[in-house]
Amino acid sequence: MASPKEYAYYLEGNKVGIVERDTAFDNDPNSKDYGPGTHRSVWKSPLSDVTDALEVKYTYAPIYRIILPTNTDDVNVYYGGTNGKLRLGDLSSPYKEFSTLFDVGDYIVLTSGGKFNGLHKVTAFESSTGTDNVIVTDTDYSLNQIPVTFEEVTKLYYKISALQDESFELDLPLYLQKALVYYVKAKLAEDVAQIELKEYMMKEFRRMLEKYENSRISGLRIISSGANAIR
Amino acid sequence: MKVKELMERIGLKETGKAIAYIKDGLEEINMLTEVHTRLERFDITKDQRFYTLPNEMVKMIDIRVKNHLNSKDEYRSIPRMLHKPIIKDADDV
Repeated sequence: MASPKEYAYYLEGNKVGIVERDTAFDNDPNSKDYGPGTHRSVWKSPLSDVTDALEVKYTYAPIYRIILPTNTDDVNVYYGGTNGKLRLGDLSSPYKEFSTLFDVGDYIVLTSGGKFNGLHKVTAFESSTGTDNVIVTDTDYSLNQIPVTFEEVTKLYYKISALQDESFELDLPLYLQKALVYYVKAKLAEDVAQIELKEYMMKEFRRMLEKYENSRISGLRIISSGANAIR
Repeated sequence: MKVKELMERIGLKETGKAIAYIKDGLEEINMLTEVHTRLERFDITKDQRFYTLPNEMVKMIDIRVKNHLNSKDEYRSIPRMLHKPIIKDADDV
């Protein structure tokens, strides 16, 4: 059985800093912290490796729609090539031939791919093993020139529908599709400096969002102190 | 509703402009409500403090860690620090 730990986080740019409370007994006579257990309340970088330990739940913009039945495969490495574009590849035998699954110009979606989750456009295929086992995307990335293995089994969805032309079916509840109409109208009004009209459209947009939120909660919304609160 | 229908409702004929504003709108909707959510897992590595968030993330809903204040492999929400910790990360990684 794993031992209990205590974590906290803070944000730094587009990164999340994870710290763990160090509960180990410490008594450093060479430090100003001299005294038994003075480090007990100190937060430090994680003290041990833990697989799949950090879960981040977030919202994303649905600028693509995964079509059923899903077409999926997986990739296991990523790296930045000479032109500073992200490459996704399969470097475990038997090597895949991605060019038989989809074409240059198609869109793909990654999940469980850490920071690379989401939509990417295929611009070329490359071969490092005799097959087209590397996908070149139009996503900028130049940090690692040598392949880095993904932490998880990274799923790749292909033959998906991406928001790129008029035929795209919006992946939103019906009510929010109408709210989106108000949003686009507001932006168009803003373009021609009709600020009053823009404010009216944005008000309607927000009103519809609130109504949508409230429609999922039945009964009264009551704010009160908890059952064990001090009165 | 297709993009074409939305353009007809507004009377807009420029597809590129419509798509740009629709993308903005979809982000705004997911900033204000939680319609499309996703859960991503990362390995915690000893002495590695920083973990890059997904680029497609619009709004963070929750951060949970396995075995936080429990020993049953449960994932529990962790608190956000009000002040950054005194002990800095040596290599800033």
